[in-house]
Amino acid sequence: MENEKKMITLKSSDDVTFEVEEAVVLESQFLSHLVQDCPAPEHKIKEVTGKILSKVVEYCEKHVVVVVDGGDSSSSSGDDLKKWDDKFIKEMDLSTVYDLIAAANYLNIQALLDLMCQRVADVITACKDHKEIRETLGIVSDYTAEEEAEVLKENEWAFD
Amino acid sequence: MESLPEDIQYDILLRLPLKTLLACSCVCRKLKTMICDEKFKTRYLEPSLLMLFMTRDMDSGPHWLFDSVCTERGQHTVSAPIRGWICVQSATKLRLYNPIANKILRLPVSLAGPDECLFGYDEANGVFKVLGFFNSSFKVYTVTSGNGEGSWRPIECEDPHMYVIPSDTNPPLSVTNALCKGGVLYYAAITIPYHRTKIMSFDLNSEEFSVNKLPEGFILDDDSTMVNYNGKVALVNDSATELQKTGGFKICVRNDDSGKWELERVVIPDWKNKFRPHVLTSFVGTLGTGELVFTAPTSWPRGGSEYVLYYKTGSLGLSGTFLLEGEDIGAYHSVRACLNHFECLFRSTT
Repeated sequence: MENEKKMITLKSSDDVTFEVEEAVVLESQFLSHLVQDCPAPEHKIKEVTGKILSKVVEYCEKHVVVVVDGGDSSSSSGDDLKKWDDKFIKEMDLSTVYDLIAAANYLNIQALLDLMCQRVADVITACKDHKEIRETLGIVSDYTAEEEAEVLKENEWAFD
Repeated sequence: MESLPEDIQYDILLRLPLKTLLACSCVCRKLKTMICDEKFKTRYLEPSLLMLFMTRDMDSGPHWLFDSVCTERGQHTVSAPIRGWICVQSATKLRLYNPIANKILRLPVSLAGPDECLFGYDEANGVFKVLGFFNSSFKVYTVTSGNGEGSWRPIECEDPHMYVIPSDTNPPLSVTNALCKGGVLYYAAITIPYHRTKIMSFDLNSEEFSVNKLPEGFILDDDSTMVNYNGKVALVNDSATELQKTGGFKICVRNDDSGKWELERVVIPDWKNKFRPHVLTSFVGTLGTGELVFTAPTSWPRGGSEYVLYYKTGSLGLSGTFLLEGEDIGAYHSVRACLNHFECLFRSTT
């Protein structure tokens, strides 16, 4: 016995459309308010590209808790979900992660934001020193040689 | 990462382990400024206020888990850790240590004193201060990051008092330990001239003393201990004996809103059954995560096994024990558990 599911269409900044169940949209605080306040069948999200929105939808569809008849929660179990999250982030380069952070921040999806921020933190933590952090994050040092020597000396005990 | 909103950049930095954070401060100016920001430091340190830390004294001289910072023999008084720093006083020296960052700051001492020191953190101004007892007068030292710079400033007190019990014991004994909470130092004092005990507080910002009135029915003597009870300053008196007899203990808690001290009773369900009743174990305080912590008293006889017990309020019994292992415990004649030490890798005291 299946309930009628309400479908909502999301349109990205570059006009890619995604048809999703309402429950999926409710994972985003921003979209829940939007859907409540403006019950149109289609919503354009100008700030997010199709490439990123597809990732957001993929994440929300996986994480949505589907309540079936009888009230049992048939959402994926915690361990499975974590494995799925790990796979989800490992396939991404850092620039996609940044875009997803911006999207999760805009759409207000806290769990996705947490996952992505942790990903960046993990990538930084895996670096062996400040040079590798620079390389990984694509940051150009603005220290002069003297300043850099000084700041390294200040923190040298952290590198042993 | 630079393209992200600043609050998200902070969110990412908050997730980094300390050493990585310090490597980040070497990456560029922007990151260093973010990491050295006072508000960031406070946010970063807050969640780590959970760790348990132990110091040990050995018969032959002081010996701590961080013994590399202390090589001299003799009697030492070690303060409770505050924001990763401890204050260690010997007959001739007064120093602040950050054992994790391996940093030492020396504070000036002279023949005139101080006789005893209480270490605190002035939250309003973000500085460490030391309250020194010089014979019968009081002085304050504001800690700067330099070594031995600054000086002791005399301060007035309308209620003459001493910190240690007048006797010949070495090291000198105080009625209770001192506790710093919310920029205020709390400690038991002995009145001059009547030798009565009372609880004093010293506001590290205004540098004013106050006398605290304790409720009737609470005895303040040298069996009393000052503890952190669920984030509040509190006193217990010989909780070990009371726990052994009744499975609970009386506690005198300072109400932060009214400033009044109120008596409460804490009962640990099933204490007698779960725990060996012949062992004396005292309440030593609450961890940042809410567990009540119990340890054997410091005068635990040699050769015993050392342990720390946790009890989570509302649970059915003691939730876990932590045994000090791996070393020849018998060599230490006392073990002291210091709560709420954390690994502060910031080398500067400010």
